[in-house]
Amino acid sequence: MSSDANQEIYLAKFSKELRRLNVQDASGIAGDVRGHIGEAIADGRSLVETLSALGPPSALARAYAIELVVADAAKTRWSLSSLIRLAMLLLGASIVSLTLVPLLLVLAFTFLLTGAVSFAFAVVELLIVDLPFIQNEHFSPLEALGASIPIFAAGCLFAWLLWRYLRYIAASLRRACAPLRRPSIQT
Amino acid sequence: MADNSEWMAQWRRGALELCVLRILKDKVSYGYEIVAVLSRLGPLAAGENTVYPLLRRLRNEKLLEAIMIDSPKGPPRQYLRITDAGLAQLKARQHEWNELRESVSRCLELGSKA
Repeated sequence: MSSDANQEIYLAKFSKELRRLNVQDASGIAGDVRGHIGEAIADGRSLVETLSALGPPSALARAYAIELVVADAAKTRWSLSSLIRLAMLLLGASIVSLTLVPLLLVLAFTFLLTGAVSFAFAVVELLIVDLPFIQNEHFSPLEALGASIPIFAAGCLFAWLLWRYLRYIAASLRRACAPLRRPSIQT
Repeated sequence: MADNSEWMAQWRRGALELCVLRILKDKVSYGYEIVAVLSRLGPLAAGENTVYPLLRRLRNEKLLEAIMIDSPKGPPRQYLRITDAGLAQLKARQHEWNELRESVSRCLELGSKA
């Protein structure tokens, strides 16, 4: 593998790790490190020695995160505007959630249950016993079996939408409350 | 004998910012050169993975600024220059450091007389 390829692999891993650690301006920092590597090579050091001195990309990214993220957190102060923004977010999320969450929950539960029960009864009736009390005059067991699948799929879709919405709300709240928490750099 | 490496690392971490600002007070320099200067100062020697993040933070805090200067060894190189805010910070930190050093010296002398 060429030297350039090694350098690019190192920088790609480094950038990825910076983003994972939520360090701002990851590409700018990667550009800085690229420059530092260039400086060392121009001063006569080999790429292998230079990368070795920098350490593993994950360790270098953690060093940047500790230096930059912790320094930012130490400077962060709660302002009135940030508190108002958080309150507006909570209010907006609460109003929408009061409607959307129960609606999606009921739809998901109803469709999943209906689909599963229809499927189970249709299979039982087709294969094992006659269950005339669950039939009506329009649906045969095969038709019930066919209908149960899209009903169950619709239930899955509503459950997925609910899950995605809850995750979105949780992520928004985490971002809004970020100044409250000191960052913890996972080692 | 007790392992002093972590104790030294804590001291170095605190002193490094002061030393980097002092190095850049006299002339502009670049990251690798700053690491090389520090490496000649014995216990102050710090690896690239310590100095480069520190340089970035000092730039973010507007204590240093980056300038591009033509290099005889290749493409234009990014140099770092201390700002007015950096000079003020250096002056304040140097004063605090001198006071701390004198206090510690007095304390150690007190201990030797006891």
